[in-house]
Amino acid sequence: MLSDNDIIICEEVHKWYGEYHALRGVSTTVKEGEVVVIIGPSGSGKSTWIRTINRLEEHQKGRIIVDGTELNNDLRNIQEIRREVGMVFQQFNLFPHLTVMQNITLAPINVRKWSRDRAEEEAMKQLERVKIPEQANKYPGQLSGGQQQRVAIARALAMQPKIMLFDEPTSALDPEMIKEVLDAMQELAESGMTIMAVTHEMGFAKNVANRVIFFDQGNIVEEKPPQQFFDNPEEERTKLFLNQILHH
Amino acid sequence: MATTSPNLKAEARIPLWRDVRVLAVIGQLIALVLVLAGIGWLVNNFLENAETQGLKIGFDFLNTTAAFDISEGIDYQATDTFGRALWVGIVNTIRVSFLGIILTTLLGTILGIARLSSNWLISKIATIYIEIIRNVPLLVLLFFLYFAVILKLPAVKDSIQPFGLPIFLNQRGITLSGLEPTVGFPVWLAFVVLALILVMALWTIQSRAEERTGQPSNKLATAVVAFLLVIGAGWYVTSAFISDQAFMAVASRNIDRYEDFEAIYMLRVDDDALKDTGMNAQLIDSLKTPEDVLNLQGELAQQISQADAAGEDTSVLSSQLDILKDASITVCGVENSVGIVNAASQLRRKSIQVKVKDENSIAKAGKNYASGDCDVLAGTGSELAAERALLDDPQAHEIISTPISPLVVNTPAPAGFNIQGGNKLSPEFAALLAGLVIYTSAFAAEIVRAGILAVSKGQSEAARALGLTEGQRLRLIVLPQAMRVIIPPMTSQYLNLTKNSSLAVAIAFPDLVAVGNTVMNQSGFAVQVILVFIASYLTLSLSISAFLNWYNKKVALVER
Amino acid sequence: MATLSHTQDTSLTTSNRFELDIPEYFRNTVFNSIWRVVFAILMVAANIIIIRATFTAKPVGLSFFLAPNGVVTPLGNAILFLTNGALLTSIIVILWLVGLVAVVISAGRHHWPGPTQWLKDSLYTGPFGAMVTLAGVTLIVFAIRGLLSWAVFGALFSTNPDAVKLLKDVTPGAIWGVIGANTKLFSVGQFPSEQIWRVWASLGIVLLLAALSLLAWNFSSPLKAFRKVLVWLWLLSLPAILWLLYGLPGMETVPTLRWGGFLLTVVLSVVGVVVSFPIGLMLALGRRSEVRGVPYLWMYGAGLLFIFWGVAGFPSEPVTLNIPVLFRDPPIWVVTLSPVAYALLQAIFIVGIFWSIGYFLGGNIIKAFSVAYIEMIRGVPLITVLFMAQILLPIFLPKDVEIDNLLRVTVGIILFSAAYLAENVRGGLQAIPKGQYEAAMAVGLSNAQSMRLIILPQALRLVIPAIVGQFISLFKDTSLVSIVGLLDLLKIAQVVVAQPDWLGLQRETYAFVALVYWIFSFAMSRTSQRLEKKLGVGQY
Repeated sequence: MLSDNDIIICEEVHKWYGEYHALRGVSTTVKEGEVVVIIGPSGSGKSTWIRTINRLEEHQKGRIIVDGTELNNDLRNIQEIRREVGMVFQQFNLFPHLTVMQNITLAPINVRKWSRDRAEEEAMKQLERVKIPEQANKYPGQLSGGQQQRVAIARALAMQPKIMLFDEPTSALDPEMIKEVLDAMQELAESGMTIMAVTHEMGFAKNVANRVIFFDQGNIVEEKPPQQFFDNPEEERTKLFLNQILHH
Repeated sequence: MATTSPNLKAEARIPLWRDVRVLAVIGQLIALVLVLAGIGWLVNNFLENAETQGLKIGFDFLNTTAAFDISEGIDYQATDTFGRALWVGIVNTIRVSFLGIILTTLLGTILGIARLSSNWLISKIATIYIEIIRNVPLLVLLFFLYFAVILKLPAVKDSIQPFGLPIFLNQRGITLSGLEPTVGFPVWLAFVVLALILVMALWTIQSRAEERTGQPSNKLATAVVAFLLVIGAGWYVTSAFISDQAFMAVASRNIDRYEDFEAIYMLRVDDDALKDTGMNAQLIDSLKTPEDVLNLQGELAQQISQADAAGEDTSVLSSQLDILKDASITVCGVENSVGIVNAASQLRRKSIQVKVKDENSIAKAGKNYASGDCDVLAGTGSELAAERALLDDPQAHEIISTPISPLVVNTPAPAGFNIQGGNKLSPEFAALLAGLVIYTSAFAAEIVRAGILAVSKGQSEAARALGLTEGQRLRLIVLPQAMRVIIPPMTSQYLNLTKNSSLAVAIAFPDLVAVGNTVMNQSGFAVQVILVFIASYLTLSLSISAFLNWYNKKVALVER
Repeated sequence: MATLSHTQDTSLTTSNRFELDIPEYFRNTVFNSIWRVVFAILMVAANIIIIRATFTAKPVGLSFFLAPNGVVTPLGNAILFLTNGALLTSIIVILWLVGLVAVVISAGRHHWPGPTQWLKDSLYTGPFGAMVTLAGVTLIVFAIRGLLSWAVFGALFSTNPDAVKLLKDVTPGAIWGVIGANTKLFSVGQFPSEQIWRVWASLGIVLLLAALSLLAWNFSSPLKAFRKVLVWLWLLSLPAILWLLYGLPGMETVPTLRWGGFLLTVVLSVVGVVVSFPIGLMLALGRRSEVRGVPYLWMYGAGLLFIFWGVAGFPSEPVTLNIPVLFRDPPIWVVTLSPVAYALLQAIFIVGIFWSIGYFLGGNIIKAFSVAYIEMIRGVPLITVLFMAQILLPIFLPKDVEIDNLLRVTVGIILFSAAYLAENVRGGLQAIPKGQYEAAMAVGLSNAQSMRLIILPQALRLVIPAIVGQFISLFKDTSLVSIVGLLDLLKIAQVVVAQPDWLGLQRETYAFVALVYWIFSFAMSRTSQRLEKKLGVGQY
């Protein structure tokens, strides 16, 4: 369900890596509860863009406003935004020396300052949500790829964020495990979470997204609801790209 | 369209204590202040202590007379400066490190490949060597080699000669033969270069002919023969026409070459004394050439040892032997100079007994000659001319130039209690070099082994599938790729060897640290000498790293 | 690889026919290249020389007890018989021939019973392999014979100096009394004998902790909870032991200059590694810091320059500089600079340093300092660092601070070890994938928290093998303190050999010292390899 609240606002966001102009004036807004899927060729800057949202990358020009807080050099702002934004990575990035339970409760205990009991309760809730509560005391190395990624989702959710960012969450998984992760993401979307996901899974884009964004050469080329996007793309570049990927 | 949220702090002033940029900079500034304060405190203490303890600043001491001796290295006397002394130390360090690196690479490669050998015995031996050496500290190994091996070698007159070669191992060091270039060497080198060019030209011509006609030619044979012919011709020409060597002797029509001293030598054999000892007159008359004298000496020596074993009296035989040995031609000159080496070898070739009276300067040698201590003064033509001018009766002496080959073999030969000639390696140098090489090659071997193993088996399989022989596979496929894996860790081993050469101070080899230590004690300029240490070793390390990095880049795989 | 027969073997069962074309074999392996022929001739010649030499080897020298006054005891006779050169050589040659024949027959029959396959693959790999094997075995056997002859058969084991003096001349081998009579010196140096119980007590503490650790880390229970406690106990045991050795309050103090021998070696190594660890860790973190540095750093340099001129005064007179250029003669290059030139030089120097840090290292002072420290220490030999510590420490510390030689040398060792440790830890930090840092940041942890909870635990686990390796190296490197006057194991050896009773016995002493180092180094590296394997298989 989309509310009327603009939870993410990007105004003319630019980023340079030295001489290389990675983001070239990205402007868009995301409403609360909206599911936005971002597709585009590799090297286009899509991962860079969503990483600027939680300050894993720093933007040099333009403004990013997340849930009313501007993302700037203010340490307090940055910390606040990071608390409200959860992120799931392509390489899962679970902490290998901690158990699944410890992975999930680490941040709530140390950042939100919850008690261990409260954190563990919340952790079990999220584990059940992603359907692997029995793995709580195992180490990441003992789990399959799909299970690890679901733990990563639970870890992000345990902080009770308002926004979830997904950076190619299924690209590193074996084909038979992609579905379980996409299912978890779909459940998340249906429960009203605001989601920005960079992915190649067109099925997910068609079925779950509210809006699909085609990102190329550092900027948004076209953004439309999935129906219009896939059936009636306007821009030439979009058509070219869709041709390439839908043409197995 | 986006509605700006009421919470927006557009362009608001971020309090400094929360601004990430400021926090980062403050950290740096604090660090800067701490570092500067630390340096300031140290300098302050230094200046205070300098006052009370009379420590001196500045590098003037480098010009002061050193007043201590250095046992080996480039030209140096005790009257030279501290600066010169330190330079001698640096050159010694470079010398032992350079040789050490070359020998370590050789030995390490051999050991590394041996460890990979399919022969169980060879690979086990290599493994055991490596495991033993790696776990013993270098200093302990050095002490063992120096005190327990080299210093325990026999005295000079009982030197060990392995396999009868002219290599003398004794407690005063190792004396090897050496090749010394003479004045004609550069010219001969030109001939060698000419020969190489000629060979390459011939090779190319014959290769092209091969390709054209499809018939194999004998280009290898042609190349070898041509090469040998040209350098042989060059040798002959250089020996015959280029020489600065000469000898001076009392003028006599019969003496034109060293060989002509035969007659004088034979005259020196005291026939009368021999007759007095009761030697057979026929035997005495049969002594016509130096070879005869030498043979008789050998026979007498044998008879003496037989008589000794039988417990008989050997006094007569011994005195006969002594008389024979007394006869000799004495040569004066500068020690280890080309002239002396040449003279000694020419005379010995004729079986003439040679006594060498060498000094460290031509002036002193000239004085010896002037006072009649020697028959021959050897040196360069110009030196001899100058010395002759100083003689009482210059016209009574003649200077005869001698041909000299481009390279002269400097062979050591025992002479009384000493060994003359050859290149002597001091026991300290020998122990240090041996220790460094033995120790570092154990690590180098592991690096080589790892490098060869790192080349994937697929490469070897492809090579075999293409029909390359084992040797070709190693040479063309495996080793070049292994080099890339080997070079970086090998670089750090070379650096380790260079730094470990500083252990020379423990066995009194005058490397930089040993000499520097003496300089510190003698001059009191401890800080400055330590700065010299740091600067020198850093320069050496950087040079070696830079060179190997360049080489590494050259052999790196070209990647996308 | 040449095959021994090129006839087709049509039966897969043991063939009773003997197919072996020996001339063909040699043609393929030896006579197909001139170099191989030459090499073969050399090998045969070498083998002949070696066998002739060992066949006529002199009998081993027997010690006095095996042959008192030249009369050989039965045991001595037995030894002489067993080590007879001719006998040993004959046995070796016969065994070699037997092996050769076995391999050849097996090759001909294409049937490799028992160890013949292994013999062919490992020892008789070809004509050259076989000859190398013969030469190698002979040399090894006679090397061992020589070693045994020196160390055992001809050796004198008495530790009584009078007996040694008496029997020295009739002992052809080692005189081990030099070790036996000086065990206290070798192990604890000049530690007062009445206080040696403290050394035993320390050893006891260490063994106890080690046993407990073995239990706690090997089996999953029940001491697992104790692991954290044990770590703390280990850390506390070091100062406790040092204090005990020095003298707890109420006990007599044993001044540190009386600590010597193997005790000193161990103390220096352990203290060196433990104290240098936090320093190395900080240096590693400093070197990896990518914090944006101070912008326009050269301005700070300029500021410093002006302060300097304010304090020391702007140069007003010409200045002569003595620049050491060692390879010149005279070794100093005297340069006279006008005041302006000198001021310019100072400006270039001071501002230049700041500017280069700004340009090359992004203005990161911490990184600049770490890099400078690490590269300088690693570029110079350890002995230089020890000299630096020994000589410079008193100069650069305030006048009234006195530190004895042991402390100075220890500081030198610590500074040296810290630089190498820093590089090892840095390697570990680099091995942590960037994603771990990102995940920690994304989930809201602060820099300090992510270091403490995520990065360092993983990095340290990776780095433990390297740290153990560093300890082993340091253990061997402590032998260098003998050069700066500390009585460690090696120096004690030199001292012992200079005693009138034991003069000239360098071989025995240095061999012993080498053996001690070897045993401990080898044991430690083997344990570390096993530890590495365990950590790898461990929890993740």
